[in-house]
Amino acid sequence: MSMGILPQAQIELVRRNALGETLVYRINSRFKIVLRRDEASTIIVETP
Amino acid sequence: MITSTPVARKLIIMAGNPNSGKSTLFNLLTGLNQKVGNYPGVTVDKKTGSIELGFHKEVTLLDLPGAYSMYPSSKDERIVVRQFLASDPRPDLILYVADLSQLEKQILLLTQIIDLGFPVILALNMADMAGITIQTQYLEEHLKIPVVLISGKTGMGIAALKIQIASMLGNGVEVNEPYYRYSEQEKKLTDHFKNIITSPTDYGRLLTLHHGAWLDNIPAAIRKEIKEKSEKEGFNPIQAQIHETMSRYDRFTPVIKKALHLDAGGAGAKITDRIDRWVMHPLLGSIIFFLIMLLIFQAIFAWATWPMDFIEYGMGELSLGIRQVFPSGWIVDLLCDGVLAGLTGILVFIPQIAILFLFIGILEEIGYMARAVSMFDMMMRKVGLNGRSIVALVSGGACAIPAIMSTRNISNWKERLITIMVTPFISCSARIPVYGILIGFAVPRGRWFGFEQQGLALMGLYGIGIVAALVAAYILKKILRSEDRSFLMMELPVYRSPVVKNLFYLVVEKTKAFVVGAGKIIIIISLVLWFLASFGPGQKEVSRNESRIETSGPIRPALENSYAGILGKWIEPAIAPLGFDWKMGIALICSFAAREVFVGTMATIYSIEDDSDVASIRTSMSKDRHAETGELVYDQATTWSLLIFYAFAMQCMSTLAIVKRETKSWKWPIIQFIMMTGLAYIGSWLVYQWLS
Repeated sequence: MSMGILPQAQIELVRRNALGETLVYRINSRFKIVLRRDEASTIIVETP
Repeated sequence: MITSTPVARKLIIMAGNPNSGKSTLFNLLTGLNQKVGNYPGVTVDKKTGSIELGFHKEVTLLDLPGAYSMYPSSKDERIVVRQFLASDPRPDLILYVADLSQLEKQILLLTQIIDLGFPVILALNMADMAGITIQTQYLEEHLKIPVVLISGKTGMGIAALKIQIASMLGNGVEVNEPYYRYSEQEKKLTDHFKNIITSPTDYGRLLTLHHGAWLDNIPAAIRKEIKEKSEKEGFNPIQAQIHETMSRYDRFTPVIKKALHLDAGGAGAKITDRIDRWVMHPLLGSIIFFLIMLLIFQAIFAWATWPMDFIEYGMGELSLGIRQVFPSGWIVDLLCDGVLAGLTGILVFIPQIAILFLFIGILEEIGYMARAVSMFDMMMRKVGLNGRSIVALVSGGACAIPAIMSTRNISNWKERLITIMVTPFISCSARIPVYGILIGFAVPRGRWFGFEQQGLALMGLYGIGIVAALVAAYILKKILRSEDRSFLMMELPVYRSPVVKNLFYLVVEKTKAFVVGAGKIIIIISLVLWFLASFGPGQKEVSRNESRIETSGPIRPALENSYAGILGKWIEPAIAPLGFDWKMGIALICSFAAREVFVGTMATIYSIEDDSDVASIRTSMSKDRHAETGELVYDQATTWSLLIFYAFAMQCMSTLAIVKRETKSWKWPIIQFIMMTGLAYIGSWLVYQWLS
């Protein structure tokens, strides 16, 4: 949340790194973050 | 409320999110008037500097680590919280730096700092970027603080910022109403602790309630009361944090949307996407990374060689000059062979350190390093390392010292410690002269499937260094316990051209840190080694022509009878199972100063005129035979045993000094020494027993 990823945020998976263990997301079309897959899997995302 | 500080020296604290351009602004404001220390208990750089602002001659600027909010998820962020909640020193002004292109998510921390009752200036960085329009008056009206547009890259707005700072320091500032509207529960709790927690603001008390478990200087009784009262009131810190964060965002998001216009794909976003398609490609990305590292590696070798030679030559000439001017004696020997030799051992590493950090700085500044870290994170994590460890491991191929210094940006202590512990396994440039001599005995010239055999042997030695580093990391991962959670949540900044001034300050800062930090220890160890090689029991100092390790001369009974020689003989029974004799023992002991000393020591023992003439040393060594058996001393078994020993053993006092500095303890360099040298001994023994 501190990084500005709040409810209603638009999250787009941009890239999977080798073996898909790290994932790159674009948040609200403004900035990109990297997450490990096991950390990303704890985040609940509702698809429109 | 009017704030003022009775002390003469004013303190300004710089805060902001990571990648907001804080360091660039810090460099612009302070120039070379800056120093780097550590925060107590942690190895996070504490950068302070002085700035001149008209009649306020004495202004200190403190650059805090980047943080996203007052709810920390890393050690760096905890430092920020501690600093703001500390009652002493209380800053006179906060200079908050935000990146205009990412403004929306950088205002959260700002509003939290405002609520702590500090006067704040908002410096909006990167105002020169195309595709951004900002109406600062909306922000000023909403936040009730001055807003200044700046560009750390071009220097735009810096003069206006200085005027604003001077004005606020001179006039005192009226501090605003709290930005955050507290819940009933939060009000009740902060009121309850009003006379118990010594914080001048409600928000300071609220944060103390949240972080009471780890904040310093909170008496146990108050810590207990915080816990009990919070539980009694049903205070849920996570829910409260979410409520507070959402509430703040709800207030400032509409204002930011009104004030800021960002073109789609502007501020470098479009070009960043294009570059990332190549740079972060699963296959191409790795190839690009290794090509970049190869370039750095080559540059370190190619560019550092002549300044290193110059430093060695200059110090050699200085030593010679001293000997010509002053009468010979132990004082001159101490000065030349102890102090100057130690100084040379420090200064000679400066070119490599400077070049490596120049490249690391460029990669950080342009935004590439974050990509490299994310690409190798998975691979590194499997053996207990971190994505950022790849930089240290590759840099270790040039020199372990700057490589270990580069681990400071690994926030997880366990991962950082493991990186520090295993990096010296990677074969550094100092091993090359040793490999250069010994491979000649072990591997005949010739080709094997079209490849030069000696080149393959050299590659093999580098290979076993890498394997040793990864295996040791895996073992340490299993042994070491840490409460720190390892996670990767990292922002990928847009690509930007580097700021030359920043690179300059980074190189100066890192070089200074090495010379001052490790230098003292290196000098002391040099003096000890000089003593060991120059004196023997019950005798006066051995004459200079006989004793100096660097000087040519006949096989010297003096060196044999010096403490170093005696130690060589003393350890002979211990090293005999590895195939080493007492002469190698002397070389091993002297090599604990630095591996490359092996060549000089061998030159001394084998009476070589010039110790840089590797071919002459090799010829002399290759003819050496055991007195009793008449067999060659440097046969396959002994040579490979010696090579394995040099590949694994911790033989660099500069590295040990820097490990001590970075871990703030002698414990880890001692463990590292035992681990590496123990493995070297076992490895050498196995190789010798197998081949002999």
